[in-house]
Amino acid sequence: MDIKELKGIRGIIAAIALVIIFAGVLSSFMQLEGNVTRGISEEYNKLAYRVAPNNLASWVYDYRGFDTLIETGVIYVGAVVSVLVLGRGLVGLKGVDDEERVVAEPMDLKTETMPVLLKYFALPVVILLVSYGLLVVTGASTSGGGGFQCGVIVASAYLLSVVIYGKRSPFNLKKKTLIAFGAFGWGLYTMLGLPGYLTTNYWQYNVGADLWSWVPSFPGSVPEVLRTVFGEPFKLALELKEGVFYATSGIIPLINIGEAFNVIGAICLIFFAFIYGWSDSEEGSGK
Amino acid sequence: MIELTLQTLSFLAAALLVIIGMAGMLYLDNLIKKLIAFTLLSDGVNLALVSLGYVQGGIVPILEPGASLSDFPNEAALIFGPGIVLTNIVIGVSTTAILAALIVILYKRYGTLKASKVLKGEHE
Amino acid sequence: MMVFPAAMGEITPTVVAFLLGIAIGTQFVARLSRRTTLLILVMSVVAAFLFEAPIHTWSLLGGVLAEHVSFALPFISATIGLLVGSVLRGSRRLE
Repeated sequence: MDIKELKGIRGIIAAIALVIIFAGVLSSFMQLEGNVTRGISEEYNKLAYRVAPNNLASWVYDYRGFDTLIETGVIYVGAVVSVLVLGRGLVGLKGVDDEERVVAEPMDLKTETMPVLLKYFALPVVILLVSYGLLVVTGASTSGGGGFQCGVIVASAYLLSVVIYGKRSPFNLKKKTLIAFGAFGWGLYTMLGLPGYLTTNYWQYNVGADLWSWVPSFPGSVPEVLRTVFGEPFKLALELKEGVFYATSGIIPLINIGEAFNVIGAICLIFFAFIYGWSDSEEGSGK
Repeated sequence: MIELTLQTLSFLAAALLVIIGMAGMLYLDNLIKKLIAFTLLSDGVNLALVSLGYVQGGIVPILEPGASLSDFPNEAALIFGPGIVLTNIVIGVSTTAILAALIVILYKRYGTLKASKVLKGEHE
Repeated sequence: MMVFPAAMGEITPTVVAFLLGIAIGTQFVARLSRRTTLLILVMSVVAAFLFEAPIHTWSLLGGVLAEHVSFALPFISATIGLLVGSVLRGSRRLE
């Protein structure tokens, strides 16, 4: 239907229908106001001083840890389906092969004709963007941030590099590297359910899982410095009104790193499939 | 008269986004515009979910230095909504990618982005 | 158990960011000139100053050397890691 067909009585009917739907949606939203049971997330708010300052991270990776694991597979479905549809042509629509394929111009840019600003500042900006993504993922448990955000930032750096430099992109992520990134990330996430399982018999019980629990505990088996810096990863001293508390977020930051690699792989695969195509591009976009 | 709190206003904005997205998906002909309208609709749903956790006079659910331990559980915004929204964003990304890929295929097949022509099987 | 204030939430992210930087930096194929490297380092220090240390971390600089000055050390170490990684792999000069 085109917007131009909505003239006269049809337009009026369409507008009235929209108003009715709007009233329904708005009233159903309004009924939610103030009717939300504070339930499980308030429990996590109470636990915050012992786990991680960023409550959302502990909620997503502990209470919904297993759920988030499956859900990160969804983004892979998107990447794989895009690659299948765009690249190998497994869909096999009738007549696609008979017609003339639209061949995109090879993405390349001569750096001699590039503006000075792009020539000298694009690569530093790409590198600093990647660093910013890594800062976000390492600060996941203390501030608003996490694996998915890091993945999106790094993928946008990749897209910037590809758009500016074309096939000679200095940030040269190949197909196999991207698949390896994603597989490594998802595998890391899955395997990090193990410490929680060994300590509490629940898979993906992530809050407070002690990575050193398998070491026989006698004085001096694990040096205290090592345990503080690496043993309880990302231990923090929270300066609150009631005093100083020592919180450890368990393995949540490590899981965030796994998720970051997963998302980098998946979103860069989507970009790769849309920009270069899959079957047409030679192995390694930088050659 | 409904009291206009921040939550009411954001619910209003969410309903507006949903209705704009719905109108765009129903009434616009261009497939790319339909895709944009779809993302608007999903943004509206996300906004509604985030504003579910609104607490009157509340704070962000991050323990900041100097926060009071006794007040924090009552003041902090509920993290239920943003947690669900994280899921929703991930699913939105993959859905958008698949839809865009399908639009590319349809364009290669029919040479047009008009949904009316694609439905009738016409070539441009 | 407190070892020293800087260890609290500062050292682990810095080390992790450095390692991740090396892992991703091996995917950069550009060989950087000395001037560009210097530019990136200076810009990363400026950016780290702007971002400040994440909350609840007792920054190595802030509070020890100077009050109210804190650097996001993970950012600087990630940049250094990226540069090191690109040197490990770098084979092609970008004109």
